[in-house]
Formats: sequence, C-alpha cells, structure tokens
Amino acid sequence: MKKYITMFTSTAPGMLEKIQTDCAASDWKALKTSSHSIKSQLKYMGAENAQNIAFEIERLSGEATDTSNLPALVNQLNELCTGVIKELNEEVEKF
Amino acid sequence: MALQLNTIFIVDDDPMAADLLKDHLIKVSKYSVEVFPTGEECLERINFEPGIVFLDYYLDSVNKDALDGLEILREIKEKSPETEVVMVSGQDKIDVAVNTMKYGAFDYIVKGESSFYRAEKAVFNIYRYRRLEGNAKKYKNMSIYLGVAFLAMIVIILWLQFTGRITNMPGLAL
Repeated sequence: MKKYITMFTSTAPGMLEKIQTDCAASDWKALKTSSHSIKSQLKYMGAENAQNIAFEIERLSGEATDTSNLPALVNQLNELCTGVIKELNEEVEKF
Repeated sequence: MALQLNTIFIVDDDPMAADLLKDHLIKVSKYSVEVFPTGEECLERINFEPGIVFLDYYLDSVNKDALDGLEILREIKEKSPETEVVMVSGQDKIDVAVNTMKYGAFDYIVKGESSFYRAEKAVFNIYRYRRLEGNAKKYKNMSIYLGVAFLAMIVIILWLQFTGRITNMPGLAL
C-alpha cells in the first residue's frame, strides 16, 4: 500500500500542474486527457470528491461547449488534491 | 511461436493502474506478467504471443501521438489472433464496450474498486473458454474419425458380400 501512496503523492503534483496549465491555455483536448489521468488515480486513493470533480472537468472539457466553469473546478480540484496529498503523506510516515 | 498461455501483458500509460493490476494478478495466480506503457511497445513484443493482454482504452496521456486502445486492439488481433484482449477503461459506457467487442475484445472492464476482481474473473473465463474450445475440437475430431471408421466398415462389409466372401448377412441382402 505504501508503494502506491508514494506513487500517487509523487506524481499528483505534476499532474495538477498540467491540468492548471491546460486550463489556462484553454487547451480543452489536453485538459480532458490530463483530468482523465488523475481521475483514475484519485479513484484508487479513495478520494471520491476530488474524483467527481476530475470527472466533471473531463466531461466539460470533452464537450468543450460550456467551459466557463472549468477554471473554478480546476481550482477546487487543486485544493482538494492538495489536502489529499497532505493526508496521505502523513499516513505514509506512520508505516 | 506457440501461444504463451501463462503470460499476460498489461498495456497502460498510468503506471499506478498497471502496477496495481500486475501485483494483483501475480498474487492470485502463477502467471508471468509484463507491463508496457504504450501500445507500440506491446506490439514490438506481440510475436511472443501472450495468452492475454489487458489493454487500456486511452493511451495518450504521456505521448499525445500514441495509438489509442482500439487501434492497438486491431493490430494485436491481426498479428496474434489467438491472444485474447481485455479492454480496460474508466468509461462506464455500453456503446464503448460493445464497440471494443466488435473489434475482437474478449471483455471490457471499467476501472474502479471491483476491476481487479473482474480482471481475475476474465482470466478465469478465458482459460475456461479455451479448455472448452479444446475439448470441443477433440470431440469433433473423434466423431469424424469414428464416422470415417464406421463408413469404412460398411464399405468393407458390402464389398465382402458383393464378392461372395460372406453370405447370409440379415438385412444386407443385395
């Protein structure tokens, strides 16, 4: 379990950064891909709220019709994931 | 090369997903498992003819130009038709699943909590299907041989009667 938590905490910050970059550049195709990637990992970590937001980002960026909410959702995802990463790092130290 | 029944390939550009599945399959079975981050790398080794390939649907999160799962599925079925492919995806959509089956996938698994159990069941089902297929072929061949032997026996009996070598066969009088 420690192996997977460490894998997530080491890769998630980079993935979040990519999501923010794609959103800032209005690259909806890239944002769909990057949010899809983090969604799976959030699922494995049991971060349901963050996973749902990642799913919504993936859906909206895939449709690319109503993108006005995307920056807010990306910020929300970033906040939630930062909290998840912090909690997981604390858990890993207990192993 | 003959089909390597005890070898499984996993193709997934998400290293965590690939490792989780690999570790689970190794824990519950004696299979040899290899992981590939792209379909292209898997295709380079496909002449090894693995028994099963677990293939992610989207493979472009690292390399935008990587071939997607459906294209890799088609290539695998062309180059190694006996290899069974199980598609794996985060999409829970029936039309996507049906589409992959049309291209030759054996099964479709949605990533999530139950995906490892379902992967295990898929492996079990593939081997059970292969065993049944093997038995069916064996029985089919046996019935052909028996049919030919029976026919030969009739022909011989008729010839023997026709040439007078045997007489007095009830029901076979000419």
